[in-house]
Amino acid sequence: MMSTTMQTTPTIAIAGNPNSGKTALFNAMTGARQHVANWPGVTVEKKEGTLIKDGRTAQVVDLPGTYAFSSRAIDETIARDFILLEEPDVVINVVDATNLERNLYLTVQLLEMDAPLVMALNMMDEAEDLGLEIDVPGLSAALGVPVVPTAAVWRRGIDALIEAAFARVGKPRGQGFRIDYGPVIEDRIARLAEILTPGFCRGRSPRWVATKLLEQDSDILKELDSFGNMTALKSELAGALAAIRDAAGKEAADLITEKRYELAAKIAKSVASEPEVPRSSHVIDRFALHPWLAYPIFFGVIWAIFQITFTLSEPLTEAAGSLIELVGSAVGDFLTGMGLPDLITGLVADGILGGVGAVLEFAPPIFMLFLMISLLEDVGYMARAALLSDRLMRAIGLHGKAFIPMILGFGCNVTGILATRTLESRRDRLITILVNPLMSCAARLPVYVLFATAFFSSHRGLVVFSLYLLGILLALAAAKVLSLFLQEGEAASFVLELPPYRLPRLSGVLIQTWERGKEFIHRAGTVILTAVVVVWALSNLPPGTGPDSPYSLVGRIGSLLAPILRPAGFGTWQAGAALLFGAIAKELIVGTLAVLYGTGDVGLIAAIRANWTPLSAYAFLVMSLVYIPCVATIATIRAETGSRKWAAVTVAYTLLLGWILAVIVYQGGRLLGFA
Amino acid sequence: MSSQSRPLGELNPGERGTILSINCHGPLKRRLMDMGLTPGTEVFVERTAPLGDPMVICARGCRLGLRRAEAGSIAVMPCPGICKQAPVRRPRRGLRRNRWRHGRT
Repeated sequence: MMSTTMQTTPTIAIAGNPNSGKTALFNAMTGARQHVANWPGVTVEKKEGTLIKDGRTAQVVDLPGTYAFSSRAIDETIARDFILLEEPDVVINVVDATNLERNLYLTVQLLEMDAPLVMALNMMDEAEDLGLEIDVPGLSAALGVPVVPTAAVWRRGIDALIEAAFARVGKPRGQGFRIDYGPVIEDRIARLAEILTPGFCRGRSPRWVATKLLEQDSDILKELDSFGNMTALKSELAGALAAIRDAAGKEAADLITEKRYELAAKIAKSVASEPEVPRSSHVIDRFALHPWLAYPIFFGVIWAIFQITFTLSEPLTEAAGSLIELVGSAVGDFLTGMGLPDLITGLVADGILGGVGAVLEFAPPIFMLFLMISLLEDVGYMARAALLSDRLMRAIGLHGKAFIPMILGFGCNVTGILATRTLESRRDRLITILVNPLMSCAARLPVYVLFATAFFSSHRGLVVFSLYLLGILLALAAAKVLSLFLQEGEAASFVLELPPYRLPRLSGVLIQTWERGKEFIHRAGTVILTAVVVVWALSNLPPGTGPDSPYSLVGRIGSLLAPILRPAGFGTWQAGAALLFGAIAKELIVGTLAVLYGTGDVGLIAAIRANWTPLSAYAFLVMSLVYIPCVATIATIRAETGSRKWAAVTVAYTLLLGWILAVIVYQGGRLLGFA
Repeated sequence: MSSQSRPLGELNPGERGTILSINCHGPLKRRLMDMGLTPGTEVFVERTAPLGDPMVICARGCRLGLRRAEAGSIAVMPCPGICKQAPVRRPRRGLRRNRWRHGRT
């Protein structure tokens, strides 16, 4: 459809292989004018942004990186449906110049979809490093598509690419690119295309739909089933598949794939010399995948991530804490000075600001953690990490890629659960999400430190370590158990590309960190803030009571919980109330106890010593480790699994498991003669 | 499989061969073929991970991590020695600055 003017903002979609530099290109085109959302109905990131150049504007959508457009994975379906059904004005195909053959495999599929293509032949800097000569005009001629060499990381070629993209807008869509699949298949495609109705094709070319049917694409077949009245088509299809099988000795899908790759390889070889992997990657991998150095390096990297994260973010966290205190008391004084009742003052100063403070205080470590992970991803080490973890993960019924979400869980369970999006199998993802709360997040550490200092001061490091270890063992065991019960759905295969190591581009990493961090703050923040206000209200009502009173609503709930907690050794209303607050955010357990015992930080240890014994303290710590995930985590589980059922399951099993373990520790300890 | 072909999962680091067939179904087959592991493609086994699994192979100019079990479904005709020409030794660029990093494209 020819657009008469540029009245409507054109849409530019960016498609290409993972690791081809799509993100760098997207960042170069949109800069800070981008935001991350979800594709509707699924938990896949959708990146959109605005391009403004020389007075012209365009909406840019970064499609998920894919190797193909079948229905094997949801990423592929999203990308393909966007191109076919949303009909963007331009599709920029980002191609890794050092890996032409495999990248062109996707290109030919885009051409078959009649996508309005402009190619960004990216990573030209690496091609030059490797001494690769590429005949760009030849490539352009072979594909019938404008090809612009770029090095997106260094912002080279971007202007020319944008020019070419805008020039493409408004021109006719496809160029009639056709792959010759050989007489047998071509004949069958023609026959099927004849029977296909426009109603079924919905704007997609009949040839494309017919080809997909022969490939037995599961999404298209589902459409066929639900369309109804397609018996003629179905029998023609069955006949075609059988005929091809007989004639060629293999499935039509395989033949089609092979033909596509044949063409991709032919074009690649005709325009470029043979690619090779950069020497630096080989050298680094000799260590990263070394027979006995690999795992020490791996754990070293993980240790370094957490060290750097917590060390660098400490000053920020402290600053945030002081700031909130300052603002809190200033606001409190101001409101009291205005003569507002204590209840309102308290609500704003302690409730709302307290909630905001809780969130802001752990924002710095979260951002730092995202930054570290982003850096590692860009460098390319994450793929090696997944490779190294696969063996261990599979022993507990999971996938190599599940390791990163587990590790992130040590920082914050919310980020760990969000990170499961990289897992392709729904089953793997579900199990990893459900056991993530058992990974001891950073918020639980203050609780451990408090009690360990109070009772085990000389061995407190050991005590804290034992809790982390317990968490890991429980997570592994739970994963194994769940993988035995949740057999439905197949486990994902493990075919992982190891991209060459690359220097990360700081601006890209920062943008990504900011976007992810923003999403996290939004999710966690809204939930936590609401919860804090609610609990604040409960602890100050009925009027006249306060947080340190057993007669406030919180106190009463705590007292109700106390008998349940007695077998575990801490049957006090304060413990009950503290655990209740801990459901909002685990670090609130410490603050709550301080308030309930009416002490500041200093007197708290004495209060702990007066109300707990070493054994009941350890039982309490086990309970804090395992019982209920924080509300932010619960909300995330609900969002990422798409159902309340799994969030409820997690709440139930962690509560039960935490209580049982705490009771075992306490009662078992008493039987063994400990106090 | 013919008597000479071997599963890719059983090849050792340093060995190479040509793919004869992919003997599995469904998403795994799709994935393997989409990554370029098709009949007629040359593969080279670069190394294995420290615990023996997964393995790292090279095919069509890119390196892939693959579980031995899943690689077992790929039937390969091993090549003794070198199947194709030795890699092209391109002249080192020396101290010449990369045009793409430093402008002048």
